[in-house]
Amino acid sequence: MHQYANPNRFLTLSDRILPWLSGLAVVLFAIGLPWALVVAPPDYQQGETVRIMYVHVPAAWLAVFCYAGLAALSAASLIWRHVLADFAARAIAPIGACFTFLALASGALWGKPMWGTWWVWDARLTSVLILFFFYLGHIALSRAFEDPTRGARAAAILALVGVVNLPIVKWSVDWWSSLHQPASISRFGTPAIHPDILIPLLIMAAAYFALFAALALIRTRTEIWRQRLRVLRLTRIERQQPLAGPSRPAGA
Amino acid sequence: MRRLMSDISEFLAMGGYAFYVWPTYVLAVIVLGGLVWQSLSAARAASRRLAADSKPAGAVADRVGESPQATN
Repeated sequence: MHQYANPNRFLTLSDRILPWLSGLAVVLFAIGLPWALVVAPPDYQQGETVRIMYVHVPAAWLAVFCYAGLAALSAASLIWRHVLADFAARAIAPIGACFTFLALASGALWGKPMWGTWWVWDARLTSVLILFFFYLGHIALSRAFEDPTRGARAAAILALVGVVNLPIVKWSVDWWSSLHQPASISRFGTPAIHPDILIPLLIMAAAYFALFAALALIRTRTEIWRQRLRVLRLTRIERQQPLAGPSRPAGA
Repeated sequence: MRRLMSDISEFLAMGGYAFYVWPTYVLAVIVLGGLVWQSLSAARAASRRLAADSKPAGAVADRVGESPQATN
C-alpha cells in the first residue's frame, strides 16, 4: 500500500483545491473574454485583428510552459521512478497538445490578414510545429505498451529529447529574422505594451493558466483511478489462479 | 434601437476582420471546451468504474457463503 501514499495525499489535496481552481478559471474567462472582445481598443497598426492575440499569445505561453512541466515530470519519473510523475505527465501531454494546436491555428488566422500568408516555414512557426509533434509523440508512445510503466519510461525519454526544441521556440524570433514579431511586446507602445492591451492579455493568460491547472489535476486524478482499477483487477486474477491450481489434482 | 443594431453589426464586423477574429474565438471554445468535456467525462467514467469494481462481484461472492440474505 505504501506506493499509494502520495497518490492518496494528491487525491485529497486536489479534491480540496479543484472547486476553487475551476471557479477561478470561470471567473477569469468571464472577465477576460468580454474585455478582450469588446473593451480592449483596436491596435493602431493591426486594427481589430489584435483581438486574436488574446487567444494566441496565452495559448503559446501555455504550450511552452506545459512542455517544460512535461520535461520536469519526465526527469522526475526517470530519476525517482515515482508513479505520480508518470500519471501527471500522461495527464498534461494532451493539454499541451491542445494549447499548441490552438497557438498554431490562431497564429495562422492572425498571419493571413497581417502577413498575407497562413504559414511560413520560419524558425518560430516550424519549431512550434515540432513542439506539437513532440506532444503527439508523447501521447502515442505513453499509450503504446501494454505495461503502462514501460510506456511512461519511453515517453519520458522522448519528452527529454524534445527539450532541445524549447529554447529554439523561445528565442527563434531573436536568433533568426522572421515575419513573427519579437518576444518583447514593446512593439505595441514605446516603452512597453500599453496597459489597455496588457491588462486583458494578462487576465486571459491567468485564465488559461487556471484552466490548465484545473485540467491537469482532473486528468491526473483520472490516471490514478485507472491505475487503481488495473491493480484491483490484477490482484483479483492472481487471487483466482491459486484456487484453480490445487483443485485440479484433487479432482484427478 | 437602430443605434444599437448598428453598434452590434459594427462589433460583429470587427473592422473588416470578422473572418479572422471570430473563427479564432470559435476555435478556442471548441478546442478548450472539448478538452474540458473530455477530461470531465473520462474522470467520471474512471471513478465510476473503480467504485463499481471495488465493492462488487469479488466482495459479494466472498460473502455469499456466510449470509445468503446479504446478496439481495
